[in-house]
Amino acid sequence: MTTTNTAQKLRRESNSLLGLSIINLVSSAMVLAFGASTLIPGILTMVQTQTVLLSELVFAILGLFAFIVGVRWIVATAEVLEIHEQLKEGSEKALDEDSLTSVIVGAMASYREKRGTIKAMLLISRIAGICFLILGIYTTINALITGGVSLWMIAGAIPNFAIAAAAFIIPHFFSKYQQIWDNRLKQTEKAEALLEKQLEA
Amino acid sequence: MQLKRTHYEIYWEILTYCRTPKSFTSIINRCNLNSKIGQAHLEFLKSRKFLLEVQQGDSTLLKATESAKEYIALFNKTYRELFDESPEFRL
Repeated sequence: MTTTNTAQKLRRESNSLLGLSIINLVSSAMVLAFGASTLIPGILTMVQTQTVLLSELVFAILGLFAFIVGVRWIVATAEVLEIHEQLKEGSEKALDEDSLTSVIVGAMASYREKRGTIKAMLLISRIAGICFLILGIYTTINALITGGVSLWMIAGAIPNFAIAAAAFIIPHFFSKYQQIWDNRLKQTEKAEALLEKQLEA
Repeated sequence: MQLKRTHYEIYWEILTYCRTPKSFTSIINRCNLNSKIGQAHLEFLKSRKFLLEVQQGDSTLLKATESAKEYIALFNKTYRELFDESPEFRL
């Protein structure tokens, strides 16, 4: 493979990672928005009425949980975006052999550093997916019980199902990403044996 | 690059940078190393004859040797191969 092909591959991977991160960011922002919109009115109602109903308390706790998950998810996405930056910067200026290797080394180092973050993000995303799926089902059942078969009320559950779907799809792609880079890291171990020989020669 | 690098990667960075003679300070700055670790790496590379000291005026600089070029070439080849030959990540 020529240096141009390697640079193009780096660029394509960088763009794919950016796309995935944007989907991730939108999903996490929606979780954060849901958390804030559930938590704050719940607290305000409790403060104004000076009473605490069990349902209000449950929703406030749920909102707080979603808010924390959303914040953590956004932070994790921002950290993953650093890998994209590393790949993008390099693929834009990399022309010679040394510069390209430098980008690969940098991306490897970033991945080693962010591996734990990616793992945590996969977990957060799956938890959010399960929560929003439950919420979507709850909203639908609630709408059916209280309002009969009203399409308008059932439509309220659509955003929940949409976030749940995104939260389940995102880990699928990040797992793919992780698999590819884990394999590359494994290959570096083989390369290290050769380099060790060269150092000892 | 100041992240989690293996020492083979750090050696490669030092040797690539020292293709032309460089001072100790510029090497540790460029390769994001602290003085103690930087000193240890440079001593190792000197002991393996991958770096040699070059006198330039009042200062002592370090320059990569021919053996270093072989290490750099092998490193470039293996890292490029492992990247080029692995599947591509696409959405």
